[in-house]
Amino acid sequence: MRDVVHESERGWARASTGDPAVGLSRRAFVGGVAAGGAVALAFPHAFALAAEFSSADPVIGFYMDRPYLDLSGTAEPYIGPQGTRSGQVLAGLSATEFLRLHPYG
Amino acid sequence: MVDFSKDPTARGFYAPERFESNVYDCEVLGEVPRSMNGAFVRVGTEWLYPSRFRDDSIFNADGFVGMFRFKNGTVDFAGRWVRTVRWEADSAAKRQLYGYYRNPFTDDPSIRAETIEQPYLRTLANTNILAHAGKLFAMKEDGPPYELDPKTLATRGPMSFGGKYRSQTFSAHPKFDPVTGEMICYGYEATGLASNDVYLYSVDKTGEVKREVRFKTPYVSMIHDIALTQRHIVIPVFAFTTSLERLKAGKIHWAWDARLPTYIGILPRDGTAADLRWFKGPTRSIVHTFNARTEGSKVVLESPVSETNPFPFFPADPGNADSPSATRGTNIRRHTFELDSRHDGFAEEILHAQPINGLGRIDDRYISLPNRYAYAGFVDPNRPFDEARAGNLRGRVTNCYGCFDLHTGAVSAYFAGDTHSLNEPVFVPRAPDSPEGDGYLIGVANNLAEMRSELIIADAMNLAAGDVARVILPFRLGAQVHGNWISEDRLAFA
Repeated sequence: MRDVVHESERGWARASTGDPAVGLSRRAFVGGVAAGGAVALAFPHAFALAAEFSSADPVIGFYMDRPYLDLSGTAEPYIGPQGTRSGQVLAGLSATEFLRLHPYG
Repeated sequence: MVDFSKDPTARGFYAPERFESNVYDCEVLGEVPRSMNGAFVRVGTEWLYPSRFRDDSIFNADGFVGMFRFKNGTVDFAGRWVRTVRWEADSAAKRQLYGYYRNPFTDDPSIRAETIEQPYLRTLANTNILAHAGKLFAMKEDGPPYELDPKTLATRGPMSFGGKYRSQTFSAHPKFDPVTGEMICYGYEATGLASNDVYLYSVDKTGEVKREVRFKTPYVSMIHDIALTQRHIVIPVFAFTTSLERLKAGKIHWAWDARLPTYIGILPRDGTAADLRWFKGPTRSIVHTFNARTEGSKVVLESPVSETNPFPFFPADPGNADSPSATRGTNIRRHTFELDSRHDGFAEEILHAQPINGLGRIDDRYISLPNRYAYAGFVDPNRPFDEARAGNLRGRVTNCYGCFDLHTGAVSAYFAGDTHSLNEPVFVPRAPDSPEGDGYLIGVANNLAEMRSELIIADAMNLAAGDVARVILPFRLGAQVHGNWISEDRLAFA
């Protein structure tokens, strides 16, 4: 865990980021909001870009053996198999057939 | 604490693996040819910590090397992260400090000033892995290559070639002259972010830098690959571009700009920057090349080429015509450059109209020389695909390797199976003196149903017969970018 310094009601102390509810002071919170605003000011185009794409729902596209997040929402969605399905070939076997193929003991 | 829950692509087969591994004497289906002694090495992406941005490029993940060591018919596997400066910094911080793909302006404030000044510190070494002068190295085109121990894959550190390599960056596709043993390598954005400076080098077979040529390109572009002839170096500049303004605005490094023409630079092997000649043509994407040759006063280049943006994760900026959905249609084309002509255009010919994916290879013994066969993966939508077990990817996975005859137009194909997706193929000659094309085509197939990766070994002269062996790994491999075969006479493997 990382330690961060924050201002508590009784002065400076050390707290852990592992429990933000305990570690966050009013001063730290205000600082965090200010930092967020600074990011927006530093990258106005990025925020504008996000706003431009917000009219479409992002989809998971698929390209050359890997998925990617398509913010334009125009890619053909990738829907993976539900579960690994690796046991599906065994599903059609009866218990007798299964045990004949995979005996115990 | 590591949390990938905000990355919607990190699911199922594509969930992060995040472990290093050794598998001794891998399970094999079929029979591994005993003549294959050496290693198939591959590098790709495996996040140590999740990206700071959900729409980041998949090429922004940490480099992860896999080595299939072939020896007398058996195969061992080892997988290791490349421990770059960036990997070590993230590892120490226990979080992702680095921002978007090749954009240090989006890095954590604790490192941003340093990474803007020295962007090569951000490299991930995740794009290619090669050997030269007895050294194994992994690389990505935004920084120096990283040397690895070929016995253990432990990272030895960044390479500077005795201080004589001066570019800040090193291409992922140096070319090896099979006649002289030289490595022709280069770096673009050589003097810093969004610079159009290219430094090009000749490194002899002992690893010593012998020549440097510095030049500028018509615009800043992704020069991911070049081609080599016995007399010339061919340098494609095409419509992925960037600028400092773009980076300062917090965007991903590249944008496709369909308004930009293609430039192909032709540089004599013994020439200076003053001898570099640029030929100009319509907008194309030439991310990779197959090969090139000089025929009298002509230079001939053969490549996978598309007319639109091939990478949906590097889209055009809003308002530009090209969109991520317009990303189909890479095929094999020939470009011919008349050195005697005063005309600065070039001729284009489609050799195989069939769509392929852009990761094309040849028999590497023929780099810079006339050759006949090109190899690439492609999607055959008419082959069976088990959507219940492998997802809704019918017509979208690379399920075949093709051998494309550049002389006759014939195509032979290998089919990997109805739940498989293939990575880049690599040609391995049957023997050092075998004729072109006589050997094996190898590559990793992801078995999407069984949640494991398999190394395919197929007879390149008889692809339709299926594989002669499959090396089975009991887990998934992360996404590969490139791989190569290195015979054991070139490197001291364990």
